[in-house]
This record gives sequence, structure tokens and C-alpha cells, in this order.
Amino acid sequence: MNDSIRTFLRQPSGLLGLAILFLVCLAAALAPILYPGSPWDMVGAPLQPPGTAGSLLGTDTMGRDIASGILHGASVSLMIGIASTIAALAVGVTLGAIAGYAGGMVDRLIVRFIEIFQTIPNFVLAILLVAILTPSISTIILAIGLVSWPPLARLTRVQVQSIAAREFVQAARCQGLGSMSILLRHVIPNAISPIIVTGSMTVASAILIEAALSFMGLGDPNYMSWGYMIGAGRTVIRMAWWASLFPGLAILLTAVAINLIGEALNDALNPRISRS
Amino acid sequence: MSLAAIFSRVAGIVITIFVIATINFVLVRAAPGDPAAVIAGQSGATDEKFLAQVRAEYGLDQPYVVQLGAYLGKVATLDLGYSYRLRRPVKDLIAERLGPTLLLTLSAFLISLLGGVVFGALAGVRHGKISDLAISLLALILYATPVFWFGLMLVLLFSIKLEWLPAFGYVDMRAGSFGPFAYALDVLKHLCLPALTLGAIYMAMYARLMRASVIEVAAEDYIKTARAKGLTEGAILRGHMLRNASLPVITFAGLQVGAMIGGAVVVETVFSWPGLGRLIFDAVTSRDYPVLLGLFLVMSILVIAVNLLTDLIHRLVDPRLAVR
Amino acid sequence: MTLLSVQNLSIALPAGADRSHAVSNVNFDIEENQIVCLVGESGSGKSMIAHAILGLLPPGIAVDGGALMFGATDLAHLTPAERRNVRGDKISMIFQEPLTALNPLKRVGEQVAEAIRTHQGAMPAREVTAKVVELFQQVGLPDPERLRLSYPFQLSGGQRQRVMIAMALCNNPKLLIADEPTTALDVTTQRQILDLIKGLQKTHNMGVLFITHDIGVVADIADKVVVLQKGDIVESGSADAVLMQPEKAYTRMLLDAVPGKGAFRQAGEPRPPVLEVRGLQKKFVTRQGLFAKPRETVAARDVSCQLAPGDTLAVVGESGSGKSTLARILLRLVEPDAGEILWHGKSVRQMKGRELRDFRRRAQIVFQDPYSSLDPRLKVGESIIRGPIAFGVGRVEAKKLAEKWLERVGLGPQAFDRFPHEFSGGQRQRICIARALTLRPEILIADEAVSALDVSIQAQVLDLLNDLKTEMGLAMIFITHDLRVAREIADRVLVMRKGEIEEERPTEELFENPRSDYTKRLLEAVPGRAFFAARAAPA
Repeated sequence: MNDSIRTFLRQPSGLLGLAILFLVCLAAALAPILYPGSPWDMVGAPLQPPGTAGSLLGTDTMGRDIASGILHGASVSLMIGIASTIAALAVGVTLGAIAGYAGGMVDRLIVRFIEIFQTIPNFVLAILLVAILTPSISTIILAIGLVSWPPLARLTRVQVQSIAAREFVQAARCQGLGSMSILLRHVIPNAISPIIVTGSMTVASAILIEAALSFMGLGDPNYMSWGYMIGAGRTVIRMAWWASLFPGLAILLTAVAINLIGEALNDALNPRISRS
Repeated sequence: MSLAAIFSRVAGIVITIFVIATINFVLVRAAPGDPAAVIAGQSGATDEKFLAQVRAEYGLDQPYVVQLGAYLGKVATLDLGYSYRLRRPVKDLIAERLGPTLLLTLSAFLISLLGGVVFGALAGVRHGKISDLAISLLALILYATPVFWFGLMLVLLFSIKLEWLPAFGYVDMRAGSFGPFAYALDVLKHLCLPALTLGAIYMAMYARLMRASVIEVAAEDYIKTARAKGLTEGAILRGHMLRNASLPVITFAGLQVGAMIGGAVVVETVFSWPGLGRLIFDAVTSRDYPVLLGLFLVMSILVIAVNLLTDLIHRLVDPRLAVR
Repeated sequence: MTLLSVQNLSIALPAGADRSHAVSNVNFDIEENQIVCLVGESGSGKSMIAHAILGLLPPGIAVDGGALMFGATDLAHLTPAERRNVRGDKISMIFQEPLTALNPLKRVGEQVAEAIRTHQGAMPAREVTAKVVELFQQVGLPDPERLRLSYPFQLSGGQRQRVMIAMALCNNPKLLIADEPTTALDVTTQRQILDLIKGLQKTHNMGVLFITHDIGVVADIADKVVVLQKGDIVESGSADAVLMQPEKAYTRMLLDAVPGKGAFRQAGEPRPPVLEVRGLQKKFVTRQGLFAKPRETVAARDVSCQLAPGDTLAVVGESGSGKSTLARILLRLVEPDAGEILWHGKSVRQMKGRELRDFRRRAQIVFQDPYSSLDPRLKVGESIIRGPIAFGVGRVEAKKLAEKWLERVGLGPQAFDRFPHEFSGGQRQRICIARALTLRPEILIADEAVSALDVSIQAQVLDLLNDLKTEMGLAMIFITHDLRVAREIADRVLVMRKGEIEEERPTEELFENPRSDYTKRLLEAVPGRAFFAARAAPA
């Protein structure tokens, strides 16, 4: 494990990712201090370009401060990204592990189920879910979690299957260990690292889905969101490019940072690379 | 492909469609409030008489099993319901929007696959060199870019600043007077930005995968064999690496079709492209649930169709699949 | 005339490898019309030399001294274009694993044709095809016209290697490099390929550089032998001289370590069996889809046998014979379709819960691959004590037990706190034996337990198993593809083929007087059989 941490820290791209993510977290933490008011409040004239009238990144159609929106949006994005990934991991890893370890009929059924879910255009399902269940933080998390689990389930299944076929697992059975303790003590620990990597990347894609949902007008109306800001800026892009440019950059940076961390994790946890 | 295999494939597709239809059914029942109000949308939610009519039509007073059976029966006969808001059958609404969506997604699919394979192979072969670094970095950034924002930025650059390409719509408003060739050209011009937007994001994904795949294939024994035969590096790349390395990309592209059609929804919204995605946006805004549900079903079927297509490509590329 | 002269060749390894050079100061010559065998254990650098000749060394590894004189040209210093002209034309190469050495997506005929076109310039397509067909005939492939249109996955292992040989011969090379070309093949196929290479070498007047770890193979085909150890030449010379009168201790050790040469073991007095198998049936069914007809592979058809305490039964067979599945069925890692397994007269198949756990404890297994049979994330000691702990032994007690057994298998108790990756293959196999024996089994199943090991290590592990068996009165089932190993360790041998028992007899009877044709063929295919028989005979 210490080896992995060292390999991770040796990679400049991973460190860069960590640094950016740290800044995003800092932004989320500092939002209520730097911009104590609500990001929905009008602070000046509408459509002011960046740097004018005391607003760092300009104002939008309603005179709301873009910089304030971005800082306040950070925590919502991160929270939804992480929460929906945890939900997706819970479903995906459980189903994938059961399918991979049980095999036979159970496996075939679960695989079929995964395949059906992968066929469904996941963003459309997310739209449908949020629209019908009415937009709120919890329905958004539910929807994103529900459309993000299939790749994790697939990966877990393949991993568990390949580890379970290894001879040390059979040896453990011969040693008299029960199925549950073999799964928890031998199979999962050896199968987990690619799942951690993909899980971390899932946070980025969840943030992107959340942004797209709020862009479509399906965000939680109580929270400022980056996607919503771009959606609001879309109609005035000819007059006020800043209203959509900056929130987009915020999403982009956050997602890049998470992916960089994911890749560095991959190199650190993948013994084939870290050994050489 | 044997008859039995085709049969089992078709059965699989039918099962998938019915599961998706069932999800639709459950969703409407899971919605807070009266399902009749959900189906009626915001159009007539207050009119009790109208709601009663909807209830009768959908058999909402029947047990759930009967309702589900009736709904599946409707799906099987291609009856996708009625948009009370637009006062038209959902089937007709979808049919007239299908063409533009197909045009957009298929062009984006081809752009992404071809571009991804070419750039990914280039990066993989030049593993560790400057061109690899440039392609990898660009792919990393594009991969993390929100599609709709990327589209807006392209509009900002190519339509507003440079004025090269039209920013919105499917065809010019004066297109009625165009000849067939000029019309096609105009559509193509309008297609450029949306197809590029949607294609580029997935291109980034496939390029990353292709790069990794090329690096992996380069270490295979048969590449050593090819080298031992005296082939040039170019011949090895063309004759032995590309096809093998693109296999995982094709598999992955097949899995991404669903996501891509989802991506089309936002891209169509950004570019006011008159396809299914745009219809979804309008339906979401007006909470027109019959349209949403119908669209969800049709788009799923679309994914299945494109999956069949990628399957076919897969079989063409990999002889091992064709025999099994 | 000298074809290739290897002069003071040194090949540098990248920094951080276990030694600085893969080989250093290697000298030997290959004459025209001669088979030179480069023999050595894993890590000897033999394969590196072969790859260096065609400039196929992996990235990071390079020739850093000496010359590879092929006529007047030094192969170690060629431009890429010059190198391509030599490759596949004057010198060609075949590899160990023919499945991965062929492009899976191209028809095999096309892959050979490509090699012809590369060096023959503009040859009409029809002539190329004719040449491919002719080559396929030469290497003994059936129905060449049809077979050239097949894909690699449609061929058997032996056929694939024949395709590789056809590809190597297509431009009439002066030198053929064969890198362990029969190691991945079954023993009867190995025999055919060896005969083929030897025959073609004569008809084509080629020089052949043959890389192998198996001194039996060397005895069968070599004109000249070069023995390598850890990157240095131990000795070299004509095959007769080196094999019959080896000068160096290492060479003698290699020869002596080959199993299956001493006196036969005699089966003990008949005793009531610990384990009895009756009419075992097992089919593997792979489902292709919802309605497609499933594919069936028979792993066991009416298999019956007995095992008495203190006995060693070798189960011998080629790949696909069902021998490994049998081992797994006996331990109930795989459920059979029908048949009975009796342990002291009790039905193993009906055991549940406590009873099954008790049986498992008394029947232990050692697997083939020493790298995948230990959990890489657990300390060796931890892997061992989980067994006893599962049966209610306290941790402290279990640790004592584990240390005792680590000591007994020759590793010492300090191995307890180390990770599997710190050990070599042979050492890991000892750990696995310790893990099995800590549970005090009555039956030990060894599934190809020495197949992945070098001969010298193989001999040590076989000795260890033998000692332990006597010491503990174990009943042992030894699954192996190698008849020599079976002869070395077993009292009785059971030959399996495609899930069926071909014959089962005491070892001596089976080897001296085989009844089934298949057994005869297996015995005849054992590499170096004639040589070792001659060597063992009193002079």
C-alpha cells in the first residue's frame, strides 16, 4: 500500500489533479465567507462584463454575480458527484460481485439485467426520473446513481470472476474457509483496485451528468449549479459570453482533475506498471 | 450466424424492449400524485372531467397487472399514447423528428469512431513522443468537457466570432426555395457544428482507448512474428495492429451508443436541432409525460438498432465471432 | 562452412534488473546443415540470444558488446532496412506459443503469403498461393487448399506450429531459429514437430538454432550443444561429447535431474482404500445463447479408481484429458454429473457443512502455478494459518504449526512474515506444500505441481514430496502431463484421454509393457527416451 502511495505521488499529473481538486474544495468551503449572500441575489446591472462594477467574472441576465455562483455551485457539484457515485458503487459492486462469484443461472440473469440497463440511453432515463419525481438534490442523486452503476457492475463481475478462478481461492476453499469469508478476505481485496479507479472516474462523469440535467432545467431549484448557469447564459451568448464560459471552465477543471487523479491511481494500483 | 443464434438474439431484443416498457410503466406509477395527472401533463391537471377520461382510457382503476398488460399491449402495437398538450399522437410527433436525430447521431458516431481510431493509433504508435502527448492531453480535456458547453463554445467561435457556420437550426429559413442540392448542402452546413460537438467528445474517449489498445497490441507475439518476417513498421501497423487494436474500441463504442443518444439530447437543445432530443427538452419544460415516455422507449430501440450495427461491424472485423 | 558466428556477445539488461547482463561474452558457431541446441534453465539468457540475432530484443534490452557474424555482415550492427532484408529471408524464426504468434484476425495462408511477398517482390498472386499450398504440404498440413483459408483459432496447436514453420521456410532461409517451439505442445504433438523440424533441416540444408529447457529434446535432435547458466556458457561441443561425457558439474546435474530414470517404485500390499471413485461422469456445457445448442466437453466418462494409504497414483494425460478436472471433482471444487466418491466408505458427494469441512481438511491440494496459488496480498504465514484457524486452532498455536512446516519444507520460520513475491517459483511451491500439510491431511493431490519448475528445482520438490509422503503415510494423487515425472514418483499410473481411462496399472507394468496403443504412443513420444535408456544401461 505504501508503495502505491509513493508511486501515486511520483506522478506529476496526479499531483496536479489533486491540487486542482483541492482548489475546488477550497472554493466550496470559502463560498459562504467570500460571498455571504445568496448566489441568486441580484448584485448589479444585468450582463456586466467581467471586472466591471465590482463583479470579478461579470453578471448574468438577472444581474447575479457569476463568481458567486461558481463558488456556491462547487459544493453542490462535488456533493452530487460523490453521493451518486457511492450509490452506483453500492449497487454495481454488489450485483457484479454476486454475479461473478455465484456464476451459473444467477450470473446469467444479472448479466442480462446489466445489458438491458446499458442499452437504455442513460441520460434520457435520468431526465425521465428527475422530471417525473420532481427535481431535487435527492432525486438527482438517485437518477445519476441509477444510470451509473452498470459499468461498475460489469467491471466488478469480470474482476471477481478472474480472481475467483485463481488457484489461491480454490486453496482457501480446501483450507475450510466459508464462501463469505473467501469473498470478503481473498476475492474482493484482490479485485478492488480497478474498481476504485473506475469509481473515481465515475465521480467526474456524475458531475457532468448533473451539469447536463441542470442545463436542461432539471436542477434543484434551491441550489445554484454550474449547469444551470450555462443554460441561463445560452440564450445570451451573443451578448455575454462570460455567463456560460466561466461555469463551463469550472466543470471542465473539476472533471479533468478527477480524471487525472483516477489515471494516477490506476498507475499506482496497477502492479504491472508500478513494478517497472 | 446460425438460425438459433438469430432467434435468441431477437428474443433478447424483445425482452429488452418489454423491460424498458415496464420501467416506463413503473415510473408513471411511482410519480408523486395522481397518475392520470401525470399522463395528462400540466395541460389539464385541474379539469376533473378530463382526468376521468384519461383514467378510463388508461384503465387506471384496474389492478396494476391488468394496467401493465394493457400498456405492454399498446407498446406491442406501436401505440405510444397521446400528447394532450400538443393534441397529437406521440407516434406522429416522434416520427417527424426521427430523421434529423438519426442524421446527427450517425454522423457523430462515424466521426468519433474514425477520428478516435486514427488519432488513438497515431498516439499509440508514437508512444511517449510529443504528438502522443498532444493527442493524449487534448483527449483528456475533451473527455472532461460538458458536451453542451463545448457546443456553445464552438458556436461562440465559429458562428459568432468567425461567422463561418450557422449556429442554430436544421436548415435555413429560406430553404423552401432551394434546389435539392443546395438544400442538402445547407443541411450539411447546419450539421457541422452539432455533429462535431457530439462526435468530438466521444472521439476523445475512443482515442484514449485506441491508444492503450495499440500499445498493448504492440507487445503481442504476432507483432514479433510480423517483424521476424521482415515487414516494415508501416506494414505491421496497417496489416496487423490496426484491426486487432480497434476490436476493444468497437465493443466500447457499441456500449456507448446509449450515452451518445443521451448526448444528442443536450446537443440538439444547444443547436435547436429539430430532433428527438429537442422534443425531449420541450416535453421536459412542459412536463408532457406521454411524449417523454414514448421518446424514452423509441430512443432505447434506436440504441438496440445501432448495437446491432456495431455487432455487425464486429463480426466483419473478427472472424472468431462470425463462426461462433 | 560457418553460417553464424556468435562472438563475445553481451546483452545488457535495463537498470534495476536482477543482473546487469542477460548474457555476457558468449561464443559459439552454427555451421551449415547443423542443429545447435542452446539449453538452459529459466533466466539463463538463451532466449535473449535468439532474439538478438534478428534484432527482436524487447525495448530497453540491447546488445552492448561483441558481434553476430552472418557471413561477412555483423547482425548486431545493421540499419533497420538491412535488418528487414535479413529477417524472414535468410534467417527466420519460430516461437514458443503458436496461438499468440499468429495474427488471430488473418487467414493463415495469407499470413504465410505475406512473408513471401515481402521478400520475393512482385510475384503473381497465383504463384504465391501455389507456393503456400506447396509449403503447407511440406509441413504436413492436411488439405492445404482448404486449410490456408482458415483462421488460427480453427487449427490445433500442432497445426498452428506447422503454419509457423511453413512461414519460416517460405523464403528458403539459411538459418532457422526455433525458440522453445514445442514447449507449449502436448507430448505426442511435440514428437511430430521435432521430427518435422529435423526432416526439413536435412532437406533444406539449413542451420538450426534450437532453444530449449528440455535436455531430453536436446538428446533427440542436437548435433551440437551449448549449455547456458545465468548468462554464461557452461560448456559446448558436439552432442555426443556433451551429453555422454559432460565435463561440468552443472551439465551433469541437468542430465541427472531429469526424472523417471531410476528403479521403479513398487506398489505396497493391497489395503482398504481411503478414497474410492466409482463411475464418475462430468460434462462441461458452454451455453452460446438462449436457444443455441450448447457445446459439450466431456471431462469424465465412467471414471473409477482407488487410492490406498501410502500409495501414489499418477494420473497422466495430455491437455483436455480431464485429469485436472478429476482432481477438482475429488475435492468437490467441481460437482460431477454422476458417480460416487467414497472416503473411508462414506459418500463425499452427500457431505454437507461440518462433515464436508472435515473431509476437505483431510484432502489437500497443491496447484500447478506457483504464482497464482498464493494470495499476493497476504504474508505467507497468514495464508498458511488461515486453514488451522478455520478449524478452531488458536492463532499462537497455528503460527507455531506454520513455522514448523515452513522449516520442514526447507524455508525456515523467517519465511512466515514475507510476501509471496519475495520467493522464487520453487520456494512458492514449497510454501503451498507447507500450507497443505499444516492441516495434517491424509490425501494430498498434486495437480501438475512441478510442471512449471526448472528440472533442478523439480527434482528437489519431487524428493521433498516423496519424503513427506513416507513420513506422514500420505495417500497421494499426482496429476501430470509428464510421463517421466509419473515414473519417478508413482506406484501406479492411470492414463486418461478425453475424459476416459485408457489404462490403469502398476508403474513398472505400464512402462515395460503398455497395453493401450495410446499409452504406447505417449511413451514413444517422451523426449530423449532412447538416449536416457542408453545412458542408464551399464556400459
